[in-house]
Amino acid sequence: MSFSELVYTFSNTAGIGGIIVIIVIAAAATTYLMLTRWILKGGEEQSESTRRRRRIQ
Amino acid sequence: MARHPYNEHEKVVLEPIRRVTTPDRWLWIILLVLMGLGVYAWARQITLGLGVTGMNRPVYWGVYLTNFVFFIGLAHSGTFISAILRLTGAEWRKPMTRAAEALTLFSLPFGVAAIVIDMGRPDRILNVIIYGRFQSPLLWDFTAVSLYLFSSVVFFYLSLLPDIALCRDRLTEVPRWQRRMYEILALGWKGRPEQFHRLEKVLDGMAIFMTMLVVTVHTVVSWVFGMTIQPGWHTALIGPFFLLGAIFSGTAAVVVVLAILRKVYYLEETLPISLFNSLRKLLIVFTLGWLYMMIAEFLTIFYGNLPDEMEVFWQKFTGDFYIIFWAMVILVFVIPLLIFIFRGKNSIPWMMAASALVVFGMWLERYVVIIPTETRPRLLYELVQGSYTPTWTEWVITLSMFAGLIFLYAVFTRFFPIIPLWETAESLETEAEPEPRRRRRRFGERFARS
Repeated sequence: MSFSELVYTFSNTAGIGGIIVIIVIAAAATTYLMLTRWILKGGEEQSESTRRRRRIQ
Repeated sequence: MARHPYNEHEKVVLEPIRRVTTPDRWLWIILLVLMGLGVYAWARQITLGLGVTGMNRPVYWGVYLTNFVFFIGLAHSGTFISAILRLTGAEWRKPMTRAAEALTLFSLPFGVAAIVIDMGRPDRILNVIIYGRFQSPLLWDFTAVSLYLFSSVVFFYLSLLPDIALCRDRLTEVPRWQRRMYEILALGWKGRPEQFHRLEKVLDGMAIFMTMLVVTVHTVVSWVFGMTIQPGWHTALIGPFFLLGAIFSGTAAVVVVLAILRKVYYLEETLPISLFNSLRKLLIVFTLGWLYMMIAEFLTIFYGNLPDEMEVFWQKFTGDFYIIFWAMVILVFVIPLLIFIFRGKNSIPWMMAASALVVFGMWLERYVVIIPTETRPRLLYELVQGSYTPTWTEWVITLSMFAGLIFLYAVFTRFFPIIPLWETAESLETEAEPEPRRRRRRFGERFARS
């Protein structure tokens, strides 16, 4: 199968477009979830170490 | 208890959230009734079929598609003000970012709903996924709009997060369920400097992505029309034309919303007149840019003098749609431009009036782009000369969509701060975390101080 045939099949076959939509949305959802978790964890290690130091004192 | 940056306007901004007033309740009831009427009209349309609308052969797209393009256009306001102006470093945008983002968030669902309503058989929406082919601009549209809606929700939510935490900690007198809602939505936000730092970083990154999305979305919306070979639609200019129109109407809608919020919630100090003056300059640029696009488009068609293109051209200028077309020209360009230039400076009522005209005129513009082409389709215009008059079903559903937008907005402003308190704070520095008493000096610190 040549490259042009592959592109043609990709854009003309029913259902493939739907899979692309799902992949795009799922990728965005995963990325946003990870980013939100990363933001919320900001400074957690520092405050944890501060608390530990305070306990030691 | 989390730490929050100090903002001198905090008390004024949080005041509307402390209690829901009787006029609020009445407004919500009226809007809910209007929405209910829309649901009834839609249910009737599903039962009796699309025959209850004014759509016919060859006019397959009517007011619903006009609403779709219009609401998606309104939704560009938030991204433009929050993302594009964020990237350019325009600090003056900060107090109005949330008001604009909320407009994005609440307009988009109605844009999507317009398509579902237009389908007649909403149960077939899943066919786009099940049988979707990437050859179809409709699928590009579905992908872009879904991603835009999803990303807008996240962008909006993330920028709201510190203020939800502020509501959680400050609003102790509100009902229990409302406090619980803040607790859940705040996701345990602590207000640590590192959290703010990361949040800014993510919002900056997302601003770039959202800017690309905003261009993509409205271009793809325009391609639903442009990729057909219909006269008036099949032009390479249609993408930028739609995009500029979207940002133009969105920005005008933001002015209207800000003016109302300023008056109703006593936000005179938070939303200063200088903000409206900055928006005025932008709107002058957009009005002129829009005029340029119109001239470029119509002059090219006129010089080409292709028979099928000219059919649609004359439909707009002197034919069935001439009243709507010239009303649009007057409402979008002539009156607003004169007001923006001669009256708009330092005058919020004038700015609001001109912006309201732009918003209404842009709805007419969407109508006049879509319908005349369908009444005179390429190759068939000598055989079929269509006509279209919207029925009460379409008007009621349209009215209910606007009522829905206002309802969501009104409810939101009663439960969440409409001015981003953390973004407009004097400094993002929160109270420093207490250091241990006997702090060990780092190597070289003594020399650095001296």
